[in-house]
Amino acid sequence: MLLGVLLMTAMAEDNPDIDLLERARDGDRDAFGELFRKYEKRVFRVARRMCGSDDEAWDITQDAFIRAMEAMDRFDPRYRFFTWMYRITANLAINHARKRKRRSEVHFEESYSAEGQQVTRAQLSDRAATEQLTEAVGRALEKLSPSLRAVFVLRVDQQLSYSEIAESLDIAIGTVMSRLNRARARIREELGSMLEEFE
Amino acid sequence: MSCPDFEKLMLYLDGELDEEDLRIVREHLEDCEECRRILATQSRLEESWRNDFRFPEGSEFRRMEDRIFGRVHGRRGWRSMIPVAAGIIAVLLGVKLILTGNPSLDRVSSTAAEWTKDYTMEDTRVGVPGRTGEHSGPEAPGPAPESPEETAEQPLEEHEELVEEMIVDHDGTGDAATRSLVDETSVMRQQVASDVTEDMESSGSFAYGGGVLRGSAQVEQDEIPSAHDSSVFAEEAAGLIGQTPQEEAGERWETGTAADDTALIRSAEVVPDMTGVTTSESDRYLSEGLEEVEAQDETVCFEEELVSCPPEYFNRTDDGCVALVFDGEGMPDSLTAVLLDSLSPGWRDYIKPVFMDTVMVVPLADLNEILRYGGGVPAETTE
Repeated sequence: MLLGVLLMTAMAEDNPDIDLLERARDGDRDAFGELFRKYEKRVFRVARRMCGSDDEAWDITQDAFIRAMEAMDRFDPRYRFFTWMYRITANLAINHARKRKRRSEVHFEESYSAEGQQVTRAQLSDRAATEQLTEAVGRALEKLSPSLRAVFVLRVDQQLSYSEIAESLDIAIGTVMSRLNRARARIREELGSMLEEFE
Repeated sequence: MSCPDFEKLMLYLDGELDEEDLRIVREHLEDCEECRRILATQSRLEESWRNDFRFPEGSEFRRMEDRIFGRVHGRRGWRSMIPVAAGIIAVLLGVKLILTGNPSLDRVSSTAAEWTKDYTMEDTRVGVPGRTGEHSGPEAPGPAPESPEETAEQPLEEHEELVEEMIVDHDGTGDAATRSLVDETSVMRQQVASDVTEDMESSGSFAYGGGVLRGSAQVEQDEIPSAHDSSVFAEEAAGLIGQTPQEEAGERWETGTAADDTALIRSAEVVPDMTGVTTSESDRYLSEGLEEVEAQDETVCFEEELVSCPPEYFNRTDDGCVALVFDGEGMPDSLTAVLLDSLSPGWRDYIKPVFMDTVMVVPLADLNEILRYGGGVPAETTE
């Protein structure tokens, strides 16, 4: 017990976010507000990128902060706090994505195929082409496995380094590299001729 | 120079190449338009996708912030109330026990002599279905408790004799001692027409199906009897009953009805209510109760009394006596369970199959002994 208290005290001194989290857990509304505003957009954004809908992103955001407060005692001080938040968020998002995939895989496949044909060879303005491309990337991303998607989102959207991604997802850097490479290759493959138009 | 593979180009794009690889890729890109095109396309694609994001309005984040904080601390607040609620319940239960005449340790140490003196066959008849609304209630004074010292001085021989008198089989067909005791109540026996009511009056207690146990207040509440004591107790009980449980049950059920049995249960539950009623009153209640049973042959005849009486009175008397009601699986009913929880917390370890379908009215002082040793009374079931 004493050791735990000392450990948390040391963590709080090294990491101001832990101090905020601890105070928030103890009922300090201001501390929670400060912590939430610091991470709300990052958490929401990762969740939204991973799941594709605002509703799910809100659910994940909420759960991520609640989990963080409830699991604070299990925080490993060797890691950085923001990677811990990413890990919680990514894990929640992966679980959401897996559940959603089981529910709507067939529907997604059909709609994607139809839309993909509409886009190709269209005479689009540069701006319209960009919009179409990003939408296509989003759809291609949905076809990736959640674990590949998580690496892609953390790298491309959040622009984390490989080591940060590895820390966030608790995987080796080599795994980060291979997953990221596979994710990019599959997205490019999905975009196909559309990518040529874009070039 | 051959082109670097796609993975290496992406490492270059991500700034993750080491010095040596970085230099090599840079040199290659100066001369390779195809690789520059791939990098440019990938970079533009990712940048476009990254920039194509619109956050919800800030107010939604603020609402979410409030909601999360409320959920975390609302839930924690609810959890923190559990110990408080448990404490309140414990206090209320304690007050309830005190107000309903929970006998003190002094009072539960009543002796067998006192027991037989104050709970003669005449007295016990008041437990037959009657009018609970007319009884004097839990405030009625019970027999004066004896001190623990007096109890300890009770001779064993006397105790054994008293036990013989007090343990009676439910249909009065036991050995000589039982019959002798039953003879004393022959007047009352004549009033009884049905096998059901005979069961109640002859036992001098209140039994349903299983063994009937009453008396034997020799042992202090928390005193564990010796092996000799318990074996004597068991032998006496078995000898008095003189029939196997199956035989007894069979005989009884040949003449009894299901409705009668339910009535018996009800009557047993009413027992403690009646302890303050005088003998003459109890006789009247007995007659009326029996008439009611015979006339209606329905279990509902005592329902009103049960409803009108606070449930805690069902299981407890002012005289250090409690009624224990066990179901067909040998488990106590809810009131009995509450009672046992408060009086004998380890009762779940003691509970035995012999209690199946049994109602016992026992001195509080003997409760633990009865639970531990099955009361020394052979098992009976209502099969």
